[in-house]
Amino acid sequence: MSKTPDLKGWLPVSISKHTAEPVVEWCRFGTRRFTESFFDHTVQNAMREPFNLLFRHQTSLDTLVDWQMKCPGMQPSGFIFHMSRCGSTLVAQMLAALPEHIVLSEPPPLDAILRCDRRGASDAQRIAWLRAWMSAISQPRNGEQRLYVKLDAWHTFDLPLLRRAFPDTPWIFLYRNPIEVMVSAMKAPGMHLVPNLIDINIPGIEPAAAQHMPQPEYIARVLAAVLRCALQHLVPLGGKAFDYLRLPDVVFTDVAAHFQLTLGADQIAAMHAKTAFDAKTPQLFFEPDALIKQQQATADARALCAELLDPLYKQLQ
Amino acid sequence: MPDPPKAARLPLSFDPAGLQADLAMLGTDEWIAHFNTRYYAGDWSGVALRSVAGSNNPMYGDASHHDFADTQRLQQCRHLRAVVEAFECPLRSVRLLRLTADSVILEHRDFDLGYELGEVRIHVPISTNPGVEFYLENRRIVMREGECWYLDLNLSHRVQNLGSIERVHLVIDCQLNEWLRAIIASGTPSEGTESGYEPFRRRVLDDAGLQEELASLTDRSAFVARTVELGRQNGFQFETGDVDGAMQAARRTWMERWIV
Repeated sequence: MSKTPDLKGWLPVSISKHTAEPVVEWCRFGTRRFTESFFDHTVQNAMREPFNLLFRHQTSLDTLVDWQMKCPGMQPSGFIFHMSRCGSTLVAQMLAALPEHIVLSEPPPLDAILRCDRRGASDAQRIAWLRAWMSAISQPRNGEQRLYVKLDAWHTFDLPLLRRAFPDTPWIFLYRNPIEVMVSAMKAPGMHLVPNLIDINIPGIEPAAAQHMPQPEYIARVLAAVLRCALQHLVPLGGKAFDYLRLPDVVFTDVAAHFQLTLGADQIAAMHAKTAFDAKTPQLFFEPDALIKQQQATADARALCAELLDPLYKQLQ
Repeated sequence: MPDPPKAARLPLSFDPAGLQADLAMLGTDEWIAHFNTRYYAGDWSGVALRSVAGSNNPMYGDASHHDFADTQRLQQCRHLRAVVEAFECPLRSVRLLRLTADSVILEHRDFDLGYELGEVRIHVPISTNPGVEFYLENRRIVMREGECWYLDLNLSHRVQNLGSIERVHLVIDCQLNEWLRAIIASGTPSEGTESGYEPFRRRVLDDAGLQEELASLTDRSAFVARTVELGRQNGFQFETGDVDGAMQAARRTWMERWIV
């Protein structure tokens, strides 16, 4: 961790959370693109190569800032916030279909920097590190020109800080009929939907109360907190919200317009081709499941939706 | 009191020929393989000489037990017994540990051992060879037959037997007392010598040409062979076992990076 190494061709693919100081792991990425459904899947694939296992630079977060000054990368052209289980991975996959795009889908290093608040890092520090990480990870390696980031669902709570870090980056918020999200989340809850699994504060939920809450209620309350937060910031922070019902077509129209993205026929065709497959398991074809999910909903889930989520959903619509 | 050394040769030595004669009395079916195959490749096995009463499994040193008793085997091996009796401190498990030729113990730490914890491990090599490479925190320590070594195995360590014969050590787990503290303090500390692998790894991180060449090799064995070759060409001496061991350790560290 002494002098800054020559990091040309290296990407900061991981930032440790449990070490005394955060350690940035840099991996030599060659021309490998982030095309898998999630950032970490691409990193795991890279890590199967013997070279990457043995040869990584390890630096402090401040090295990111030094490197940004020496070798600046791109500014993000769009952020995708979402309530989870609502088509956000599909949108990311569609954008990644174009070779001129770098698309980062739920990158854990970004989360690690945001959570440096737990270590007492100031907003200004986190903003500097976020910008520097974004600059380093988006070094064009195949002539890419635009950078998009799909965040984790709970980063909706970090919207104000992310806006301060990237004030020129347009952002969207994706949502879906809450009962369908509830059914999906109850089958396989995301990390933020299990109490205290990851170190985040959910506005309006006391960590102590969370431990004793029945699972469906906890999921509903977290989803409600995300929707409330999106609603609160949507107009003041200049975002646009889109319903799952309008996917995928809205990507070519309103989303593209908001991201100032002009698409030719070939590009639309390449993006459209992605919609035939399940975004998270691209080996499978996409199957519409809204109806099935609605039928599978328990009375409990319906009651929670009606009380906590449907009013917010209507407001977003 | 000064810090205890990471490794020290103790002022005790034993006649290897006698110990080897005891070893020759053991039947091949007496060696019990180590239960945790995650930590080694090849054959790593042991014979209990003193173990938790009623258990003859030499590989399972349960730290919660206190009722250790000599096994019948130890009674029958007078040279080994003489070594054990030379220790004027409370003993826990005593074992013979065997690492056959071409076998490797991957990098690990023994968290139940430590000078501060009052539990330390002593090694007496009985049968070894120049191809045995023992690394403590990436520094090679050479232990010869009949010598007696204190090692801080709470630190990361690994062994590879690149020779053609097996390596057998008498391994004695002791509780620290004044006598043992004094013996360790009067030992000859060893800093060990660094394997050429780690310096070469650092060199590669500074050399875009070496990076280019090695990164192009996606086949694991071709990569390992070329790494050793490029190391030699650049004046760094190490073996394929060093690279394999480092890769295993790196994979484990990577997979465990989210675990607290």
